[in-house]
Amino acid sequence: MTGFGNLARRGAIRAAGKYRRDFDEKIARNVARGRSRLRVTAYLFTAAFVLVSARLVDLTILKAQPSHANIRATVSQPQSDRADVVDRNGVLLATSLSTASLYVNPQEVFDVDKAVEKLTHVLPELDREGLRRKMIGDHRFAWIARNLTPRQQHAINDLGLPGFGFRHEDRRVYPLARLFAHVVGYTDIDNRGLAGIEKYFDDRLRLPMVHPAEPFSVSLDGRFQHVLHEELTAGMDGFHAKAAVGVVLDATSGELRAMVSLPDFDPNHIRPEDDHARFNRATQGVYEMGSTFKLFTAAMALDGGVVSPNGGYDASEPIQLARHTIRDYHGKARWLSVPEIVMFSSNIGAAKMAQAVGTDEQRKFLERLGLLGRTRIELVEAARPIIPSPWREINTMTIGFGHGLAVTPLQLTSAVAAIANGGIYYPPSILPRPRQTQGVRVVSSSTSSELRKLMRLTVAHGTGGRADVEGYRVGGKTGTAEKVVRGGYHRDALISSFVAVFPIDEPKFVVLVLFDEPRGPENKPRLAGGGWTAAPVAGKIIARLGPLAGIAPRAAEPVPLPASVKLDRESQTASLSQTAVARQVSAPATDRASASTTGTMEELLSQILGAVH
Amino acid sequence: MRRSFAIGILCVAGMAWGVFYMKNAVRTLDSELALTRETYDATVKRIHVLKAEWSYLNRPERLARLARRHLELQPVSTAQIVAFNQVPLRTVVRGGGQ
Repeated sequence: MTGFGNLARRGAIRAAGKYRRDFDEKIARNVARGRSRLRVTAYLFTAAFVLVSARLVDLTILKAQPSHANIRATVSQPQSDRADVVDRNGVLLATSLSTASLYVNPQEVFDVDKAVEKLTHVLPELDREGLRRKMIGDHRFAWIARNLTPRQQHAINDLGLPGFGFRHEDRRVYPLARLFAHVVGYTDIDNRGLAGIEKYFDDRLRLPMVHPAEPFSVSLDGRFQHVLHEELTAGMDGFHAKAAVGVVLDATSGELRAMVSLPDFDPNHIRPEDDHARFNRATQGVYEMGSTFKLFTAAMALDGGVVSPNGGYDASEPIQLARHTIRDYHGKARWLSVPEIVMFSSNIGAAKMAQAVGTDEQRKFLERLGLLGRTRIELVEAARPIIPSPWREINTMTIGFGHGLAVTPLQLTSAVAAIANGGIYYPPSILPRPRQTQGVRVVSSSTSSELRKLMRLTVAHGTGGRADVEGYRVGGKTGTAEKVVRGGYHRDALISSFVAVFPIDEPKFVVLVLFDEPRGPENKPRLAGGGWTAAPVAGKIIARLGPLAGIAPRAAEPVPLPASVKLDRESQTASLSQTAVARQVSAPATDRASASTTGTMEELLSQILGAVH
Repeated sequence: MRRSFAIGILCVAGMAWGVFYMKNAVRTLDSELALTRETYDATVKRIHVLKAEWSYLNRPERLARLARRHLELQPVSTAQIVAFNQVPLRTVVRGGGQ
């Protein structure tokens, strides 16, 4: 057993030794393999980390965006979704304010009596019973008060009442209230434009605002607007007029500086009873302007070479044409020169002048002055004039002194600006215009200078004397027209106007003042004409606008009368006491006309034209 | 081996601390930014309201009323405006006893 046993043990040991050797080798191999695998993995990971790090460095340092760009993108936009409107000096005319509205959740109210007590103390206009009802019940929401002022909101916050909260709503606000009512217009409850600039520029005002918010700037001037508004209101009250219109236009660019239509309204509180007040008489109302049209007749005749400045027409006899008679209110009953026709406002002379120019020429001329098309202004409230159709010779003659063609006050103002500023027509605009705006030449500069002389003469010696302002060299023309009331011209119902240009030697502004049915002192209709009502108001306006506009007053210079003007005693008194009331188309009222009851232009036309047929 | 392991642990710990610190700093900055934005919004709104109020208080009609009540000023008349060379300069009289 031993020999064999030894042998067997030796063999086992040998076998075990071999096994161990094999085992050791195996381990060594495996360890080596494992190491190399680890190494490869480590290399791989290192490479991956290096890659990630490189990418990080690349993104954060090399390709880094400037940090302020990111910041700008994340700064939130102002809350309002509608642009402000400002005047030419940056005064706020319309803006959107986020106002707080108070609501209640009745489930969270502890003490109803105390809450009612405290709330009515801050908001006395609230109804106690209604308030109590809102605070009791199963509902979870009820409005208490809409659109509170910040002060009210603060006061309510200070009450510290549980169960109450605020929601913010945007509301359009017009800080200047009535001052720009017709120009700026107003919006509905959802801030959509309904009138004026708010309507015409609705899309532009609603554009998502750039940052910082850019306001929408208009050419009007709050100070001019105020002067015009104040003087017109005073004039309207003083003369008990039904309505009034005022326009101030930049004569050299057509920019609108002020536009007032009275009666007006408060755009912050649109009331149904203001319906008629929302009518913008300056751009929607059409009026027969009367004698101010004689300026256009004279300009047209002088520019066409039909008559020379020293020429004239026989105005001694009324004109008979078909069934019409054209006469002068205070006829001089003699031959009148062109300056005299304008200064003393002779209808006969103007009618003859228009007749001499001819219908076609007159039409073309008025067309170029923008008097026959729709009023050109950036407002939806822009009316078309009422034009005679057909346009016969009698129309030519009556239009020569401002009857039979009804235009808007704004159209008249811009046409006068064109005649006075050297002969260039600029369509009126509510937007600021660049310095070099292209206009359209309508008369030669020499004709324009001739007309300026006539306008100055009218103020210095003629019917517009009450508009004169020392130092500001006012030129202008009165206009008085009878309104068509119940199918005929009415002696006591006048449209009295005055259109002024100042300073006349270098026109800067055109001012139009128009009163609807003014009453003169002691109710005398002859003292209600343009020379007595509109002219002095225009004078007051100019006296205040001059210093505002930075126009240096100059010492008064006497205005010499041209040789062709005879200023006899009678005409002097006449010139002050009357302004050529244009009642001069005295046609028998037709049945059609007398049957209607309202004083519209259609009636006037049917009256004039119906009689000619 | 052990040393590199220790270095690795240290590195990881350092990075973890760095990340934590950075994150904390970013969070602080973030809340600061949110606060600034809130203040900015509130200020913009406030300026907006103040502008409206300023315009409301500067109504020409109100200014005229206040001027009438508190100032003893008259509107300038054209006669009061003259060119500079038309202003008579004061002549200085020397030695005048009276």
